Amino acid sequence: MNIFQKPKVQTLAEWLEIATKKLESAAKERIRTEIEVHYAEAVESHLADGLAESAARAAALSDLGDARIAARRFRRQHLTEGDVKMLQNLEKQVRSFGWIVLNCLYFLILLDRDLGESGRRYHCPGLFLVLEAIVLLAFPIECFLAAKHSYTKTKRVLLFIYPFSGFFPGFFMGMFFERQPVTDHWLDLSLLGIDIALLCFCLPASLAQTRQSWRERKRELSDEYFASLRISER
Amino acid sequence: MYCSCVNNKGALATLILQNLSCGSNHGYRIAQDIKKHSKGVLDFREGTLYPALHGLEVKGLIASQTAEENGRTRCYYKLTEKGRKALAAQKKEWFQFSNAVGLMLQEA
Repeated sequence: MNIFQKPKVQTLAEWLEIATKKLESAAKERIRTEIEVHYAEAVESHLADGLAESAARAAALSDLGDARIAARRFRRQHLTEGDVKMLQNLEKQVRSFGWIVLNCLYFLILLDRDLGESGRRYHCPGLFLVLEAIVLLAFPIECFLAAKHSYTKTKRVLLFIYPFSGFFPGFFMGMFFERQPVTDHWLDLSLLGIDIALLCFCLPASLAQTRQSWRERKRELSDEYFASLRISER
Repeated sequence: MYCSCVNNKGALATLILQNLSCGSNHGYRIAQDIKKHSKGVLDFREGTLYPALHGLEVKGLIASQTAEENGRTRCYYKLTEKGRKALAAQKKEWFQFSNAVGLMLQEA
């Protein structure tokens, strides 16, 4: 007996349990519904071919193939419970009032620093300050409000763009608008480091979230489309 | 002859798109149609059909809709315009590839 061999799946419930393991509940439910109908039809077909009920069930289960392979493929297409947890954490961060306060403080520091020497430091100091206000005040507050009020579509798009917010004051704007070399700005550069770290952490999650939101949107659109059509059996 | 490698290299996706080009269909019927039209040559494990369908849906090549039929809730799939274009491109690529292989084998 091979001790590494996994036990053979005996029932549809076991097959589904393995195939949908770790998936988030909505995906689990959808797969379960589809496979159960598929299995029922396969059993009926085998019964019509003259097999006994137990043999028909076994044949239908065998037709489905290895549940572990199916599980791997399903996990490539659907969010897992872990993905959902990570996205929820990201949402929490965007909802955090502390993050807004931190951005405001950073803006005040920049304001204090830049106003005093803006005349000689920047090519267009007014524009630089306006952009700083947008990325450090307006944008985080908009994200915060969107997350707070659960404007789902807006929220997801904002969540996607959010990690980029610190880049502009920290690096590009400094490069484009300041006369001094960018290496002189330790505050901007340290923020850039934090931003890159945040970006590495947040972006994959944001991408997954955005992908999922588009998937839902497509589903809504197709629901509307099919609602206007009368589906007929071929 | 039995070909179990139908899921490799995106062949299953192309076969699904081709099947749906005739109209909306559900998973079980798609699987049976593929097996029937290939006279059993193209066989595959039916459990892997659904991840492929869901993947095509994510890419926007097909759209899905649930409908009640004979007391069963079925998920019907339909080809989108993007899917139609993708199918045309995949068919063209496939014919070019098979012609090229055919020519090589004839020479040999």
